[in-house]
Amino acid sequence: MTARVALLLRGLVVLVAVLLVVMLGARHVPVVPDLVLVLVVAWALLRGPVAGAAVGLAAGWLLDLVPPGSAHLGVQALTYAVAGAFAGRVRLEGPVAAPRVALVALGASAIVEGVGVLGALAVGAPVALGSVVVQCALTATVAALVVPLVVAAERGLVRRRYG
Amino acid sequence: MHVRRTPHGRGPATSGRATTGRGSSTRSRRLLTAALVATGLVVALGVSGAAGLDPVRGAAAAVLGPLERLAGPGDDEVSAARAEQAALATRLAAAQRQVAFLHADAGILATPALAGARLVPARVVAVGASGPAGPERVTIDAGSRDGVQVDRTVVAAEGLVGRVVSVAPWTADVQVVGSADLTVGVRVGPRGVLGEASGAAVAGGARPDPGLLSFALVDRGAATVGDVVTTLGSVGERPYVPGIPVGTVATVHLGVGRLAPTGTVTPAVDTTSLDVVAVVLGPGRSTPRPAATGTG
Repeated sequence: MTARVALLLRGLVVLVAVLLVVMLGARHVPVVPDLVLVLVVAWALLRGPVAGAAVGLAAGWLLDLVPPGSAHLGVQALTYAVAGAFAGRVRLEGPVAAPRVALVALGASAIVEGVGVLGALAVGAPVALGSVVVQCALTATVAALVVPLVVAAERGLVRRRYG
Repeated sequence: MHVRRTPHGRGPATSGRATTGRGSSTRSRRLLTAALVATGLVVALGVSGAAGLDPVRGAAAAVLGPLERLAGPGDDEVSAARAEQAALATRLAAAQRQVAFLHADAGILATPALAGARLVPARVVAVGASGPAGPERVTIDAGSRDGVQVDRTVVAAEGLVGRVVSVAPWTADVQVVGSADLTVGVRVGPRGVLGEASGAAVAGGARPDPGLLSFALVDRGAATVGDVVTTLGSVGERPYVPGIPVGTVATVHLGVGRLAPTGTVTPAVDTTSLDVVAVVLGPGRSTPRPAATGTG
């Protein structure tokens, strides 16, 4: 498997996550975990801050563009880039315990939600802090479960290429 | 040196990759910086309104919209009934407004002006990332091929849903009531006092609680709790057709240092459970509104 195919695969996974999030919303799921952020955190924890920011930027652009998108193009991209850089910055070499993954995801989720909350406060829009907290907690929980799977899949890819 | 199968055996390969990674890290850092700066530029362009970015959004929607339509919730009897209900409610709003306007009764419903607005029923197939107080943008499965245009009113049976902000061939994006950027001109109460309602705090008003809209009357006038709030209507019925229920007054504040009261409105439509909606394509009227002679 060439690097290009692997890249395409990762892009597809992110696209599926974005579509899943907007479609779960249309099916009236009350709180949808930020699956895109979970993927960004997973790759940032594997590869470090620069790759994390790059993945966050690309995934954020998808969120901006996949209908209905965001009010201002590029805002989600920059937000997720910051979240990815943060997750990459706190990366540790070697295996990482699930609670730590959840904590990193919680921080990244707080960054993403915090940008939204600040934007709302700036224009005098209401903020439902309770649901923001629930959203962050759910994203962190899902991250603790999904990140190990993504890491295992990535290890599998690397093993195929170099093993 | 025959340790290829052990974890250490993969060491050289992994470290080799790391070395190449470090070698190209300057380049990837530069690429990332360029991408970040470009994104920042796009944000600045979009926020300042210096350049229209709709083609970018439209291209993405043209590609991904059909996918969302395919994977969206399917049709069933309940949704058909809801579509019918939405259509009837909109026609009723138009009729009621005409009745109030002309102070007449029977026969008005038969005038050509009340033939009813043309509606395109649509289904919500995607809900965007929720803002701090609920969804702000949704995608519906009707687009330019169905006659949907930007700045058309979107209604549900209960009342106003929002307005179309972006259109692709197969889908359209709707900004829903309660999003911070959406402000609607409204009439409040039985006397139809003019005002405006918004998802964010209106001028002189306090920040509304989550799930409520903020409203302010434009001039002196009274609003009481429970008053029905309807759309005022826009020129050419874009973006808002008149007479669509927006909600009911929940609280009224007699502001200090302000002539007109402000307050909050409970929206008529629950934007967290949107299903079938209808886009109002504008007046179907092709014959002129008949003139009436005063008999007073």
